[in-house]
Amino acid sequence: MHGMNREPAFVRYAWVLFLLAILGFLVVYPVTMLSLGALSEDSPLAAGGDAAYSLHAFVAVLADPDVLRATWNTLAVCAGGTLFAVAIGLFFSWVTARTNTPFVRIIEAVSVMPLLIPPLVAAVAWSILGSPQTGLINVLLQGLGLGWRVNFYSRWGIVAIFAIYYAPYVYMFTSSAMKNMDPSLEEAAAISGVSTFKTIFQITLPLILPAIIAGTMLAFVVMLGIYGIPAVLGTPARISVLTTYIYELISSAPPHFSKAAATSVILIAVTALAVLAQQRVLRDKSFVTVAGKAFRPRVIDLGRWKYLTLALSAAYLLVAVVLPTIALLMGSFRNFLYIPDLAAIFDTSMYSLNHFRRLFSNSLTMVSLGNTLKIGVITALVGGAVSFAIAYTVYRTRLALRGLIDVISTLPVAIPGLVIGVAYIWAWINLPGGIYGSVWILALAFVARFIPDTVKSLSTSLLQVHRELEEASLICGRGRLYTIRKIILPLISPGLVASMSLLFILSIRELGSSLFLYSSRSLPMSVLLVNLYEGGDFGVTAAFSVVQTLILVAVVLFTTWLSRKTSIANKL
Amino acid sequence: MKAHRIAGTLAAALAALAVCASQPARAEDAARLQAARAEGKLVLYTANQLESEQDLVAHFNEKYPDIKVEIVRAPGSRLATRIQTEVAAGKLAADVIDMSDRGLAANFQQVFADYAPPNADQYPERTRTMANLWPKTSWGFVIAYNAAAGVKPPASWRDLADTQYSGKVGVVVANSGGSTWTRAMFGRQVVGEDYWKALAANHPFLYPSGAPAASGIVRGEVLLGGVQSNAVIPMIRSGAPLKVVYPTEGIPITTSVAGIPKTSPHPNAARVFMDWAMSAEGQTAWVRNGGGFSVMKGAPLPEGATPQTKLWIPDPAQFVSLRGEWIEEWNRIFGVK
Repeated sequence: MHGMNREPAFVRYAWVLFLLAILGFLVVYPVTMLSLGALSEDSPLAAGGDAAYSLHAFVAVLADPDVLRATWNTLAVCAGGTLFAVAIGLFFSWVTARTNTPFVRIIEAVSVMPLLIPPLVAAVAWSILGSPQTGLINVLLQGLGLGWRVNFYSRWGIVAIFAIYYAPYVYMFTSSAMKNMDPSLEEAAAISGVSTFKTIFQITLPLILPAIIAGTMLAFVVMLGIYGIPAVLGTPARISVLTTYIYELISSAPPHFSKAAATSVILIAVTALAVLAQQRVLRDKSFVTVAGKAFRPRVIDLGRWKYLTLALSAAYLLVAVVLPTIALLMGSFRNFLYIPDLAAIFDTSMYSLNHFRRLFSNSLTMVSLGNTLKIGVITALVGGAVSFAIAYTVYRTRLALRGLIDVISTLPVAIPGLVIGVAYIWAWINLPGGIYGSVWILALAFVARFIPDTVKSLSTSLLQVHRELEEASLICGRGRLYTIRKIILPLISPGLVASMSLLFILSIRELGSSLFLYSSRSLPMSVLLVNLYEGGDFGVTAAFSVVQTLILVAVVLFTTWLSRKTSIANKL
Repeated sequence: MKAHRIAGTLAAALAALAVCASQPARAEDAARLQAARAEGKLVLYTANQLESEQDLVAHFNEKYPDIKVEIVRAPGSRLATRIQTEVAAGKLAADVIDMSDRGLAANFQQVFADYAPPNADQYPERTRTMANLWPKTSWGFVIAYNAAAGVKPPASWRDLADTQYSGKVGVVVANSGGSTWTRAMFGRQVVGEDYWKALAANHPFLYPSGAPAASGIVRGEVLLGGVQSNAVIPMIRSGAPLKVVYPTEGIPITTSVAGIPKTSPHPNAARVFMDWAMSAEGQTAWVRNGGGFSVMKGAPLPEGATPQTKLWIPDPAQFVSLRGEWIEEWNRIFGVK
């Protein structure tokens, strides 16, 4: 129907080739190295080019009953986690964007907080809370004389933490869609006497369907690749998922890279299928909700029901944010986490600043902080630009090969960080100009790894903007770039700001892919955090997590403010 | 009388010779130290725990304040992957490599330059089967128990399989790293052929790595278990409710293999650091402050250990050859996977 048909053919081809070249470097080349690793017995670099290739590892992996069991466990916990994450995320985006629930701004700010904690730290925080006998929740239940106990070392425990942890993903996707939605259809429904709840399910939800699907898909695919949560919560219950199985292969001596890489290919295949499914569902549907007239998102007056939404929000935030935060704060301020009963929690002699003192007396702490901020800014800027170019091409043009671009750009997300980290070092160690060993190679890896997250979150904003706005500008003789700058960017700026802040947050948290790429000069916070953790003392790790979370909270507050300021709704 | 005089002259001559011989050595040392100071720093790749290694470096810097040590820390398998990739690309940045796992280090043994510490003969044969590589760091597994929880202290590894500790013992999976593999090997070869099965039947609580195991014992999630002494002794010193038992069967010891790569950009600083770390001074700092072990002749033991405490060093050939098969078996017995 539309497309870049206004531009000469060579410009169109050059643009597609340019994007494919970027993706080739960022994604295809490392994934190829990984596949070579799966086919050879040795690392593709160490073998010096004349490695013997065979399908041996693939056959071994596919015939391995452990892999089958791990695959089944993976699909089960990720599907369960996604289901709950979507339900929770949607509820919150609706409450914060569209209802008159009290304290909505606070709810909005707090509901993304689980995202700010690295998965490993979240898992440890939950093991402090939900360990079968000594978990704080169980100590509390016992103190209150109640008979129930919780056990997070279980399949349901992993599902619950996945859900809590990735609900903010769904929320971030759907809330910008809800905010930028033209309310006229809902108003029409209201005028025709349709009930509020019927309106939600028959009008509001279908309108933001692409955002829901994008969020669902991404949450599922990201869960596939997470190691920290199933490792900490699954090992005691002897539940193995693909990532823990792969980790086991890589930490063997000698490491079984070929089997690990071959197992990762299963994850990549599942991801590719998920993307293709998403493309099929969305094909030929229109999700335009932002058209060329003024609007203001409609706020639904819930009447007395607003106290119910408030109570539900408060209950969820208590579980998802307050409890783990308490666990982390106790871990960081308490000398030791031995808490046999309720009274022990209030023994003030056990609290001190020791862990913080120790943290800041470590010379690496400030070095890593500086590096991480540098990496975060570079990743947000470069990744924001690359992702916008890809998202615009995939969702706003009809250029050839855009479907391919979509699939390629989504692949990195499901590969466990540790595995993709190996692929990056294999692929990029020979880059010229001292990139290896500097913060740039880390930023590059994060851009590559988080393209899917950013492209998908931008897609929801882009799909909503009606063609007519762009067409109008183009018909008036304005160029493509001018139109993007003056029409598209202002309309989707809340989405763009949200995507870039997501990039910043993810790059501060990201651990797996950094593990092979950092040097003594470019040590990031996440690697220092895990090194402190692996030393065995949780106190200083908890203190560092608290510091990291505070930085991220500051970032989120800033970007929430920024996206409010740039939201088109506020300018009309 | 004459013979006596000759002997006296000989002794004097020998003494003079000795002085002559040590003079150039001292001059060489001084020159090296000066060169090391000019280099000003070294990059250390280590599989040791970060804070343990930082503490050791702090002691090194008390003596050599103008040689800065930059640490890149990763567990053995990850460190090996990094080193092999960097070597293949000609970009190895390390001046000293301290690997926890001799099996992995064998894959890149050719990168190490000729090196022996001045006190080389004080180290046991078993730990120096790889040319140019030395047991700079020794890690030992001890039993730690939560003293505040009122658990009856065990005396031996065998006790962990006793039903009174059913469900209360934390066990780090054998494949977590070289030291957990040593511990598993020790269990089967020394404690008893049936020990894995007996321990597995006692419903142990499995942990993916040493860190959550140590913190699990502190929190009381489990009440006791085998952990590395250098992870718990500094914690006890700062007041953690733990106590350490040195089991009667012995302490499974994993010795590192440390050396200086031929490509070291700061070779003099690297030698000064290695010489110091291998010296009685360096080893004592690791044991006394780091809570680790040392296999050097005459080295101290960590606090609470007695001269009866036996250190068990695995057969270096079996450490490599048995590993794959035995770990598979361990995983099956403990229900991992």
